[in-house]
Amino acid sequence: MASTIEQLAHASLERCNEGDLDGVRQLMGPGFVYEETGTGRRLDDIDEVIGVFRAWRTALPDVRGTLERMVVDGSTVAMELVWRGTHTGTLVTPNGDLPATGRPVQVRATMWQEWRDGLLVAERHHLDVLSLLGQVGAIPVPA
Amino acid sequence: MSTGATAPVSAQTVQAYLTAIADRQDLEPFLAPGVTFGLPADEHPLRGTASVARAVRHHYEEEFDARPELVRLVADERGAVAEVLFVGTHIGKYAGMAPTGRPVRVPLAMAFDVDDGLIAAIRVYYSPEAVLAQLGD
Repeated sequence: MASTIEQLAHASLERCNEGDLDGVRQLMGPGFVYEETGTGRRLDDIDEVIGVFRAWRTALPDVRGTLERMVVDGSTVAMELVWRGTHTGTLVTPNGDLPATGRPVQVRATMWQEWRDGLLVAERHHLDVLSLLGQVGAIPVPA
Repeated sequence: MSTGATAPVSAQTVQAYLTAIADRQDLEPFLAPGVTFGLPADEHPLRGTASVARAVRHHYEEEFDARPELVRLVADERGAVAEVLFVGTHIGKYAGMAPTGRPVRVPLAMAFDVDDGLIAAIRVYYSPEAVLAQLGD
């Protein structure tokens, strides 16, 4: 039985939470494009995308996304998420590598997915990178 | 809890609200009593129609002369989530930065809870870093 878009979206998040990057890759279809609006990053090479996900997991090995809300409309899914993890690995930032601080981080985000024929063809991630950098001490946090 | 709303009602409500921002109309008629408005890092979102309307107008009319350009909207009976481009010019103090007159074009997402045709909560997702980068910080 074919999976619904909602089931596929849940599966993609669960694989991400488990660190199953091979499983995440299997859900990506031809022409897949990944965008992070906070960093301005736009990648259309699946290997590069998996590399970015791996870098996030290196910095925050226990990172998990908690789904707060999901709206499905046709082939489009919008998820409101809270990413929580602990900065126990090197975080790559535009200003250089930031060694582990051991600090917990929590970042709210929306993840938009476009699905076609059971495969993910686009993903856009709106997250507050500035907040994340502040939580790990990479930038001053306003009083 | 939403009572009797439908996805089209949620979508129409949010579209009308975004149009009202762009047209500089009164926003309060779109907002439910007790509406909340928060940015991702806010521990305590703003509450109440007057406070929320004032905050939204501040972003679009005082910090920036800006308008929301709707890119994509998905909706269900509980509300809607929109991808929007915040497009305008930096005309007021923002994050401690004096007006630069620079144009900004910032992608963001907004999630809305809609209750009986009124917006009960607005959650805005973006990274201020994207704005600051365009202002030359």
